[in-house]
Amino acid sequence: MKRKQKKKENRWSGIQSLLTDPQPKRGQTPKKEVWKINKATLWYYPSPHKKYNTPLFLIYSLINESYILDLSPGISMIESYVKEGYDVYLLDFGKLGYEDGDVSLDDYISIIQKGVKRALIHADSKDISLVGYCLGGTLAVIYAAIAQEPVKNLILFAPPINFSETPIMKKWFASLKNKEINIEDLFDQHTVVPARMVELVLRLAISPVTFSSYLSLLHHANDREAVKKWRLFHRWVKSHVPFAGVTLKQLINEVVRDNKLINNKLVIKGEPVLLSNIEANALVISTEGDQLVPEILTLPLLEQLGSLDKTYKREKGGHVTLAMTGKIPKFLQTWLAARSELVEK
Amino acid sequence: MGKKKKRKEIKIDYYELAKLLGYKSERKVNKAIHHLLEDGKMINLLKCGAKIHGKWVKDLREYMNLLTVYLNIPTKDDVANVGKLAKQIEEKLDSLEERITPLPYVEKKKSCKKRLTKEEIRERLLKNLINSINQQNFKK
Repeated sequence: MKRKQKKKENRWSGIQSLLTDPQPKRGQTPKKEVWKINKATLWYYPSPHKKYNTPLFLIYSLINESYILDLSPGISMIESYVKEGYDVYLLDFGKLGYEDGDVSLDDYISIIQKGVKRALIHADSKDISLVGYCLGGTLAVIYAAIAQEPVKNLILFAPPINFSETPIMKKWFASLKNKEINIEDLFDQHTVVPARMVELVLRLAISPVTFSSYLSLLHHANDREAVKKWRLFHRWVKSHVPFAGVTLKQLINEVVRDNKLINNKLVIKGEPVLLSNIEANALVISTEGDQLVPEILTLPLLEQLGSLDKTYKREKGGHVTLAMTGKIPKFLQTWLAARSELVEK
Repeated sequence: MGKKKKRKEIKIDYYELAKLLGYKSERKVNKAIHHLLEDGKMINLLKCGAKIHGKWVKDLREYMNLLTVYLNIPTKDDVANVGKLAKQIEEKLDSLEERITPLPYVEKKKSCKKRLTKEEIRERLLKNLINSINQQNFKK
């Protein structure tokens, strides 16, 4: 009885802590700024016991902030890579301002290219492993297809690439394909699409009403660690970033509507983006419960890649589950270790 | 005789139940909203709305620009232009720095799809075969 009462007290004190406790600290893995241009920053996370010479270059989506990869000690993907013996570079695109309305997809690829160069110079390495998350995966694929830098491995977590069909909002998708919906005027006026608008559109497409997360909080409120994790994740979910109108137009018109990327018709910086040019070892990962990027958007990429060594892995979980587990999945650990150069002792 | 019948205690975790019910009802509500959104009339309504919104924002911006002339204050575009100048300088400095830094790797030559020799094709086919076997093992 006593125990039960204590548990009850804990639960409500857990909820109370939401109002009284300060926001938990995020991103505590030691890092150093290596390079910066405009709003983008290249962060370096050194490994205290480096085992591999091939560093990891992480590219996150343009929709949310990249700190999901380094939420907190114990729930940080970056921390686990570093512990495993990899030097990590994270390209954080930052938050765009009004003056960045003309930033295009080509500019983002240029930033990635420059970032990879800087990481290679900083690490004094002969090659690099690219890791792309969500839309960052799409950017990584585009870059890898035109890269002059030595990309050894390409790891993609749920990259949306193929838009021949979509399981959600089918009529909207059909209207967009038939060019009945004109987004040009709207985005021309909104040079930079506000973060709130990005959030609203995404919510409308996936889950317009969300209250189950609060019930989940109530369920786990007697566990301090779970409450902390919930707070960190909840804050991240709400932390959308403004989107450059020109990039959004390019992505919607060329990548989604015309499906140019998977059909090898996309042109970036005057160069054709041919997926068959990608010769890096490729690992593509998708998750079963991913509502945002279902398998159909990802799987056809594998056939198109020019890589001789390509693997597809389907895991349990949602869109960001793997980024939040705080440890490298076993299959990724094995795959990456076999394809990274060991440090000579 | 002296055995005490142990009754199985059925514990109901009301919080978990609430979570499950909440999750299910959330899915149903969202499905209903999506069904509503998928309606042709709704699509047309939102299309018109987006058009009007775009025009409204454009007009508002023009009037604001007109007003700033008389108020003798800079517009947001003016401030953005100064920001763009700073960006240009930063990019030029960056490309200069990039040019003078020696690279630790060999850059790939820009080329279109190269023609493969017979040996390369054979090697490629073999590797693809090994790959597919590996893939099957991975699935297992």
